Amino acid sequence: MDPPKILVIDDEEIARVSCRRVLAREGMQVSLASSGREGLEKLLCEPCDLVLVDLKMPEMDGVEVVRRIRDLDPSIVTVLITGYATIESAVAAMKEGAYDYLPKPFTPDELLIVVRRGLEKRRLDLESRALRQEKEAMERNFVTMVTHQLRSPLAAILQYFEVLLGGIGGELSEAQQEMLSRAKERLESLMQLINDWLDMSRLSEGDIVKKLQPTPLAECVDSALKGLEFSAREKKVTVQVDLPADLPMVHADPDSLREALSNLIANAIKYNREGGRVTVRARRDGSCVTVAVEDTGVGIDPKEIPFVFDQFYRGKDREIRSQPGTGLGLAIAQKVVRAHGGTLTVTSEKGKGSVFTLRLNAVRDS
Amino acid sequence: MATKAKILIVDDDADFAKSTKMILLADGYEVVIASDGKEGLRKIQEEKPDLVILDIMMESIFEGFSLVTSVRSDPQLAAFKNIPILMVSSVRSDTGSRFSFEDEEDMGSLSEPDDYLDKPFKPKELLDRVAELLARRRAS
Repeated sequence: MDPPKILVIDDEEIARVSCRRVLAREGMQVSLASSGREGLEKLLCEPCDLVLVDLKMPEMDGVEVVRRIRDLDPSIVTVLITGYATIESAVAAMKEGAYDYLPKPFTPDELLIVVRRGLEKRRLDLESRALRQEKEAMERNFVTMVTHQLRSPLAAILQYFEVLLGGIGGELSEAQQEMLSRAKERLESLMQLINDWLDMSRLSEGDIVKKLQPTPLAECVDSALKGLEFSAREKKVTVQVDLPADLPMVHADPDSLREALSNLIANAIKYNREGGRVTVRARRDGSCVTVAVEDTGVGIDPKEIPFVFDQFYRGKDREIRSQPGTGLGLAIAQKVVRAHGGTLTVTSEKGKGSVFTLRLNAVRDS
Repeated sequence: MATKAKILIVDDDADFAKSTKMILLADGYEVVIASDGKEGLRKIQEEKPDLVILDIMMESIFEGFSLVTSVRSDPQLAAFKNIPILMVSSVRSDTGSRFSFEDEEDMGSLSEPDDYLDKPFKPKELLDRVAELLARRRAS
């Protein structure tokens, strides 16, 4: 390990030199500066672990030096050297970030105790910072690794199904074809569950907040609808979008808002009746924009309304259960909308349909 | 059926490699398999394939990308520099911008494959991409 690097800033030469003698004897590498300015310049060229600063110096006093070192690199430990009469200002300096103070006159042992303790603190600080960084990196990679571990075997299995169903492994009887198709569908919904769960665990409120920007709602709705055209056609559901032309922009992260809208509209299609209708409406409401996704579907039992946004919750109704789903779509939408500082609510009438309403912050006209 | 072209599959998932191989064989391609990046590089030199189908994540997250980089820039492999590479993975869509090829900043130091396919894929999807890459290579 490198020897600890100490800088002594003191305008009295005798004090500087005697500090150096004591510390160098312990194998520390000591440099000296006769003023705050000189000390800070030295720190810029050569970083060090701990700085001893005399409180009373002409030009720049110790408190100011401590403050500037803190601005420069808060991980450097600073210790103030003070006269008896100046303990009060030493306390003030500790409020500015000094780690400790040492009243004059001090013995070599007293100096060593304070310096060793300061170095120990620095070592712990650096260690915990390194551990924190390692933990963050692990968290980032965790999702990637889990994704790989969960999805790879499924992908391999599904690929075999594609080969078999494609007749590449030989002709299949109708019964075999049907069973394999069913098995493949079940696997695909398992894959969907994994994807949704990963989406959910990756959604971080902080990341969404960082990406909030003025966003035209119409674009988000359009791109959400793009992925849903097929299922709407298949179910013979008409999707109608009704956005006023003068709608203000909303504060949103376009990607996650699109996902939330897509989940809401996908549900409105999925739990609709054949030939039913989905309407997406928006209007300005004071400093907000409300977006309503309305369907003419099976509706939700009032008893179940409090639970629909819970993770993995699925309606008890047989018509709802007959549709594939993971019970995560609304939970994801809710999490996204909350990160936007908005609300997501639902009103519903069993047998008639549901309305999911998003409230988002509007961008003020300027 | 006459052999159309020789394809090297580099994938550490033996099952995935096998099903991919069956799709390609059924369409008349000759197929060679390598189970990691190192073996992949060796087989590129030994077998001189016309196209490589490459998994992104094998031993390490970036093994696939480092193989692309070697093929594209290692002077010893200059003869294979322009070999078409189709990258496949079950993780791209979930690893965020790290693997999104549009993000210049993230992709800066990584060599790009010629095309990309998410696992699992439909046989026709794979065959279309492979045929297109081979045709593009022949035309250039």
